[in-house]
Amino acid sequence: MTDPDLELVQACQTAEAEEFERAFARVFALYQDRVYSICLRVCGNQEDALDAAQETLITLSRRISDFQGRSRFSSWVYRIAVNAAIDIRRRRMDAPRAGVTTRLGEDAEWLAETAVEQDSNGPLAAVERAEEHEQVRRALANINPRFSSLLTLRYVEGLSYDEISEVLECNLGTVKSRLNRAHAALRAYLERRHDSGAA
Amino acid sequence: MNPDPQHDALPEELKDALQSLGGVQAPRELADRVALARLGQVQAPAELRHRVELAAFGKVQAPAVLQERVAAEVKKLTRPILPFGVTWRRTAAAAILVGIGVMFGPWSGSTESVPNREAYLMERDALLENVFVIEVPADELSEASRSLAAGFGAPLPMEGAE
Repeated sequence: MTDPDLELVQACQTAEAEEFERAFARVFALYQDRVYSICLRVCGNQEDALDAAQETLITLSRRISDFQGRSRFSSWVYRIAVNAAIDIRRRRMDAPRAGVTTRLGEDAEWLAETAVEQDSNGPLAAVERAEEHEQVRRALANINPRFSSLLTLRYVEGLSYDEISEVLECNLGTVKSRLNRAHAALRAYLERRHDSGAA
Repeated sequence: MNPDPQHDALPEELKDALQSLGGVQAPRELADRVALARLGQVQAPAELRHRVELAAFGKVQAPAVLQERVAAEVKKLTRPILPFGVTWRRTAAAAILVGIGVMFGPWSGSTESVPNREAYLMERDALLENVFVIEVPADELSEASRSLAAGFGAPLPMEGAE
């Protein structure tokens, strides 16, 4: 297994002061979107996602010198991001914040605009699709964060089972069984929402 | 990536919906926040240590000596905080002694009811030999000690009483 980021990581590990800043800037540029994307899907809103992504990237800068290459660097980064996002979401569940709904609304608008731009079947189909996507986004933000992180890694980030097992530090069988449970949780949430909407 | 159809049992439209959530760009704010937070991570130069040593001890010390002195200072600063101050402890001890004195003193009326008064007095004297008594004038006692002594039955004049 060759790690495509190995050179970049080594540059950070051997560099000092300003050189480190330059090397870490490359790591930051490479991973900021992916880290933010995972945090956004697990946390469910931009403010918490920013907090989690910030925590992830700062941890990365502090601990990159400790990375020993036992897994791919990307898996290590994803692991930190998933843990940070799950932690923040749990903290927020203990102390819900005002103002989050505004950000959810902004995200929904963004999704709708994107869907309209992308859909060639006309505006109605685009709106329906945007609505469906919004439901899925809400589902991710509401089901167990462990499931939402798994679904995000698998479908949003497109990781293979091998990569997911590396991120979560568990074997392939466990990844598959957890993914099955995550599918069930997602479907159950969407069905509940559909039933309550229809009622 | 080699998907396993048995475990990808999610409807295609749901997979599409999940995949469409990707491609998000981190806002500019993230880079600013990380840069700001990382400002606090700057490692102090060795010179800082020397300057602190100079200011604290008047000279740059060998690390072992410095460690000992710092440990001693830290020990002093972090000594356990006692529930009572020294004055309070002395006062409390004096009050207890006063209490013992009150219990065994000549004003103790309860001894009148003891049937064999002589045997009682002998026993009391024998016990008193084992007790270290300090007499404290009532006006030297703090308010708390006076209350405690009064609680034991000592006929102390209360503050403000004629």
